[in-house]
Amino acid sequence: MYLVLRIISEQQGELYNVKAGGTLSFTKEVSSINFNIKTDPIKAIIISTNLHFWKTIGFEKDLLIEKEVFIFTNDAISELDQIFFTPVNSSLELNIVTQAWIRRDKLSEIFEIWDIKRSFPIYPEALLRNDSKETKYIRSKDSVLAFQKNIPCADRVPHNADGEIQSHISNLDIINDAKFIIPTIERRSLLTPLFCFLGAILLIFNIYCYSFIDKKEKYLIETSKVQNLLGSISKVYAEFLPGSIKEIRIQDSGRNGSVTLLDEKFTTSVIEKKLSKKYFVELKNNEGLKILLLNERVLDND
Amino acid sequence: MTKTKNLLLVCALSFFIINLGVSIYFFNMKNISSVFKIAEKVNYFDEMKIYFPNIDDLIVTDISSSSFAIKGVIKNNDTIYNIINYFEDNKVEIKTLVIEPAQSFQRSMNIKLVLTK
Repeated sequence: MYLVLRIISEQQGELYNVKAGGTLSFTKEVSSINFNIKTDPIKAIIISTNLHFWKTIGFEKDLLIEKEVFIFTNDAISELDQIFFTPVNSSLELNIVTQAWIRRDKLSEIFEIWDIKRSFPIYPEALLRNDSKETKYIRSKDSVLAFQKNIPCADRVPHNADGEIQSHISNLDIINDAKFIIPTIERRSLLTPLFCFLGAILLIFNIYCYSFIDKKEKYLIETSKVQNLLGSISKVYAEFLPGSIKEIRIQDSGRNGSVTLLDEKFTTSVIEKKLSKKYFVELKNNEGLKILLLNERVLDND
Repeated sequence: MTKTKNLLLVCALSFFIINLGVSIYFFNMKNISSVFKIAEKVNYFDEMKIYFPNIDDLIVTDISSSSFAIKGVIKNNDTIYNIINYFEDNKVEIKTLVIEPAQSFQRSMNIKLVLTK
């Protein structure tokens, strides 16, 4: 047994217990103001006939080929993507086919008023089933509905209908096949942009990480360039006159360097052979000083 | 239409999972988490005094928030290589290195470094 909410209007509603087999049993009246889904944990919703549409036509075999299509496109004012509809219900004995539909924006509006956030099976009142022998007359807002035995949908009848008119829908049955099809794609449509958004954030993060690692590796390379240049100068250190070195300068993170010498006779002939593979070697005179310039060979200079 | 939407969802999910995988890889393998930690200010003067007690007249000067300079006198060639290795280990880039052998006594050298954190 579980609870079902019948929404009659924006403010008015009723709670029903559903017995085994789907038979409804009136419990109490509720309003959108005092209804609390936590205290009344409902499992389904019935939408009253004044809030949804339904239609019945004569049986056509073609209409039953695909049950989950909307067959009253010419009758509905709204576009197909603006409505939720039930599967096509048929009665072979009575040769009728019926279907109910509701505007999506209307349903959202009602749910907002009733503060219903979770998704529940939603049944149209007009497609409740009467399994008893007698026809049941239900007052639904301003109209009277007749639920005849085993007919898949209700009929509007005049107010002066024969028989007792009851104000609630007790003893009618919920039919599982007669609920609105609310496609799960509705939820998925949010998932796609969400995954794209999260993926994009992670992509930006990954690019940042990649560039950081690249930069970190660059540090190591550049620092090793300092070592390389220092090592190259050490190899030719013996060629300098003892005590003639005034300054060794390594610049630009090891890409180029200079050795300032106090040796006027110094020539590059010997050291050039040893260093020319890695560096452009140049010798400059500056006020009695010899400055040996070493510039890293890069592909562009080759 | 539904098939296209499903395909799009699968593509978006794949895009997300691939990026998530790469992110986890970066986090675990490349120690990226260290990047997001607030950088502690290292007192290089104290550190250098500990690691290189043989540097005389040591002066550490901040040039900007990311670069600083070190000046001192060393007596051993190996100390230069040790200093380079020390900064390499600490991910500090050596922009400029100047070595000036002292005129009177060649074993003693003035060194100047300009470094970027």
